[in-house]
Amino acid sequence: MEYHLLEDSELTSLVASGDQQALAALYDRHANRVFSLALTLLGDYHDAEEVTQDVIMSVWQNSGAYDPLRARFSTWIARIAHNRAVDELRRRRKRAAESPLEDHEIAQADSTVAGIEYETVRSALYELPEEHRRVVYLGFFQGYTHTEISKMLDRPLGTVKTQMRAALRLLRDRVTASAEEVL
Amino acid sequence: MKCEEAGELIHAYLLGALDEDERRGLEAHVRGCPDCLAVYYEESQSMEMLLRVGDPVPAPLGLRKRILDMVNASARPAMRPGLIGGPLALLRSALRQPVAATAMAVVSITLVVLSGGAVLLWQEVNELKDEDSRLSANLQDQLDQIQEENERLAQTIVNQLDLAYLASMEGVSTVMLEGGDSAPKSTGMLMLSPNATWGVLLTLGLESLPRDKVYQLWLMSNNIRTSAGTFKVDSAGQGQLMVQGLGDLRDFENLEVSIEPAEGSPEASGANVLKGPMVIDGSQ
Ligand SMILES: [Zn+2]
Repeated sequence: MEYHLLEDSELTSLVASGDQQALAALYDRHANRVFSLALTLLGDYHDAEEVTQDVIMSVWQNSGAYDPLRARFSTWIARIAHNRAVDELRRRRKRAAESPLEDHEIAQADSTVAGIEYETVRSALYELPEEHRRVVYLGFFQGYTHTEISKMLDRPLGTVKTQMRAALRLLRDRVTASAEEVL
Repeated sequence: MKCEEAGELIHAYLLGALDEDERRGLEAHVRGCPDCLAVYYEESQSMEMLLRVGDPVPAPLGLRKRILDMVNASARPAMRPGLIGGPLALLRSALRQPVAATAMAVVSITLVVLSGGAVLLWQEVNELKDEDSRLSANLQDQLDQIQEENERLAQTIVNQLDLAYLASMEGVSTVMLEGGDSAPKSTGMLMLSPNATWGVLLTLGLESLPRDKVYQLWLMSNNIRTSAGTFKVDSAGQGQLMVQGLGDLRDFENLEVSIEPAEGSPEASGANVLKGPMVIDGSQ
């Protein structure tokens, strides 16, 4: 079978029936993205590798749960990767809290993200007002909850919520606009 | 949760920045609220975009082979319980007779096909409606059924996501239910999240019910009976129900599923089809 000619949704059906070559094809198509996202979030090659392995294994085990009507496969698998990476970030913080060192987290928030190439998203992120960018970094890239972010930044929770909404909308509008420029 | 509050939480949810309770509450609301679901889809575009952040960095060279070796060594999906190798396989082995097409993969494909079919039927019905305003009672009836089926499918899809999420967690435990007197061949399993504050009930082998009936799950402790929600099953007898908002589920002593009127009952009134003590089968 010409696996590389099949759609993601067809491959996931095959994976669900235990087809290992279909899994390999999905790996070839998506592993780099998953790895990059994990590396972006975790900043650690080895941890990113573990997350990638974990994500691919969960595709092997849960591909039946993927619903092509609901999301693109690339989105689905990226969400799994994001969840896993955020879990790892939270575990790290728990460990750090148990063996108290200094809190580098906020300082790291920018530097972890800054070294990565973002294409369109990067420029959209950089165009966000600083206070909006901050909540996106801390939430999406660092896995803090909005309550934690509110305490860390000493901003009312309502403000953090509003900034999250504004940030996501600005990002969407910005990326939609640049997509239209391309067309 | 009200729509207003849900609207305020959706963006933090998309960023992955809600704590566990808020996340559960929001999901429960959005699941039952088409308005908020529409907002969710609309707003989720920016999150999808964030997930595409970054140029692909090549994954480590040996990783592909290592994963494929692991997969190969386990023949069937293993490691942690998954939808394919985990709960359903367990459930199937608990059933004595083979159940056709129980793999969640098949369910998932069926869902797609069914929804596609339902849409087609829907269109047919609507075309007829245009053609002939004297829509027969029979067709209207079919339309109602399709709508009902669509709602059920939507619920199943959401539950599948919960299940996938649950299956990906460590420390998940299970409670087995066996068929009651009126449905001895049916079986069920409640998968519990690590802290047992929520879970997903899976059933196999239950009969499809007429439209005015539902299955209702009851949790009992000290002779007090609490409803944990209602569900329907598909033509293969499979049903799923998300159980949450009842505190630590391990605090209950027994579980029971009975057949009740469509809107559910305050007290169990119908035949008991599944039952079992809240005995944890152990973490997987
Ligand atoms: Zn709502």
